[in-house]
Amino acid sequence: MMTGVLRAFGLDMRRIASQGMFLILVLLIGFPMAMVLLGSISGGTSYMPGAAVGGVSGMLAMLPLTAFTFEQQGQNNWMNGVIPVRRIHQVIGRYLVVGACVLILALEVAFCTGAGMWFESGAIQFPGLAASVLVTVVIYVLLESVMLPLCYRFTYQKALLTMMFICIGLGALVAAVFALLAKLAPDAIDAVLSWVVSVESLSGAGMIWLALGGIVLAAFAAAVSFAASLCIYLAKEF
Amino acid sequence: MTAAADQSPMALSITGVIKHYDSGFTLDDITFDLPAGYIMGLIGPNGAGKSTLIKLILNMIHRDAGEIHVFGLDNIAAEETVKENLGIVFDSSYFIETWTVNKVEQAMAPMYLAWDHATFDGYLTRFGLDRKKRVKELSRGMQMKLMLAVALSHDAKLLVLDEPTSGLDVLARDELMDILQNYIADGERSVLFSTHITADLERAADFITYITRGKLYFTGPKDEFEESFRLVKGGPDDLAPDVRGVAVGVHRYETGFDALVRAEDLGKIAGLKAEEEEGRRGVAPLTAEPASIDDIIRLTNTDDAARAMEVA
Repeated sequence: MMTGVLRAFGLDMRRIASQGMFLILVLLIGFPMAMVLLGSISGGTSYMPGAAVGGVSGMLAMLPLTAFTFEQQGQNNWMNGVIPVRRIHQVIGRYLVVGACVLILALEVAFCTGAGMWFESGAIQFPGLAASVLVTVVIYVLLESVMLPLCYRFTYQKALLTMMFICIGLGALVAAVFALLAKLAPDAIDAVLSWVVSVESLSGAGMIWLALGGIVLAAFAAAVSFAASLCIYLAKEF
Repeated sequence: MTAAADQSPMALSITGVIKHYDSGFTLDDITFDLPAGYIMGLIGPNGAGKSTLIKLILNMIHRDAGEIHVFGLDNIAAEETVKENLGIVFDSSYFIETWTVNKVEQAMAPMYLAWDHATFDGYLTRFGLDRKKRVKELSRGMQMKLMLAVALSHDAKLLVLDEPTSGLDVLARDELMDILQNYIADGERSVLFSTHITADLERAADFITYITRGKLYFTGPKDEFEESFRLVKGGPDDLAPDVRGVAVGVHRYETGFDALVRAEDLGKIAGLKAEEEEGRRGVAPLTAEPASIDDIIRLTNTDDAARAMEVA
């Protein structure tokens, strides 16, 4: 099994690097480098970690999906039928790529946020740093967990469009709920907001529970996503 | 099958394979064996089901019924082992276009336990493939050669080629046929190749499997295929009911007709008996000639033949 998974992982990495590994490395190193450079020159700039984390997250969100775009070019998906790798191992290999991206993302976010804190106050607040990393990773995993089955099911363009509609739908749903609450129970909005504030100021055991909750949520989403992707890919014909 | 072939282990064994598409096309109950050490040509018109069959062998599409065994192993249960032993060439390249030839090797070598860099390098030299060239910069023929180099560099026991000669000039086709002949020379390797170009079959194939409209029409030794049919020719007014009755397919044209008839049915055509009697006087109404593979494909796909197959 391991041989098949490693072959699939290796092939996906080569697909992703098809446009050149140099560009990916430049972008991955570029954000932390820019943080350090800007911080050294201008001192603390509070917007920098957010911008860097956003940039890195966006890039790493797209990276595993480029394997799908290459598969959909010409007859490259036939290669999946030629290589001696079972379909289940091909799917595991692709999720391993996402796993590798999660690790890189965690490192990048930790570095950029930590550097931001250092330049801002001359010290690193580790609970805050851990929270930033965790929140970014959980959001990333949730996003990829939705995107991967969509990419297995549809073309890349259609998957992105579907994701866009899902995001718009979720946004509309939240807005509708808040609009309803504002009309029917205005106090509930204050309660929600004060809960969010209390979560942000959590420390100690509360923080650990929140972190565990995030990890469980991400793991559950990844497991459901993997099952859906596998189901779609096993039924697929190419 | 020949006596020698009957004793050979089967490189490929397809039994009762059915694949139905929502479009209405069905690959229906296909059964044939390819013994180790031989080349089989898979022939049929466009849309007959040749590529479908090859994709079924590769588990790229799902069969509705039947079994496929490669060297005795089920192609799905033992997929990895089976594919380690398969060399595949499609009619168009499956490599990423921006990859160089070198990157193709870097991507494909880890896929196979038995990858041989020296063999691959040898084929690159033989085919004139530049390692630095990108796949998209190669002509269709060169892309086919690249797939062939990959297929031949991991000690595959069965080569499966889907229309490999379609982008090649006559010299390259000749070279490919030489490679295939050398490839099976040890008696342990086999080749299944689909083609439209019947001249390739005349040169290289030991066996023929002919599929048309999703149904198996013939499978067996190539010579038997050609010898089992005759081409009956006559004038515009000579297409008598006895000819129609036994003809597998008829093509009419202004000056006469061609009718494909099974060799054993020739005796049922009165016009041919007359030919024997009157031939010496030069007034033969009908003539019977050996049928080429092209004739067989052409005349088993006429409207008459289609109707006859539907009835059957």
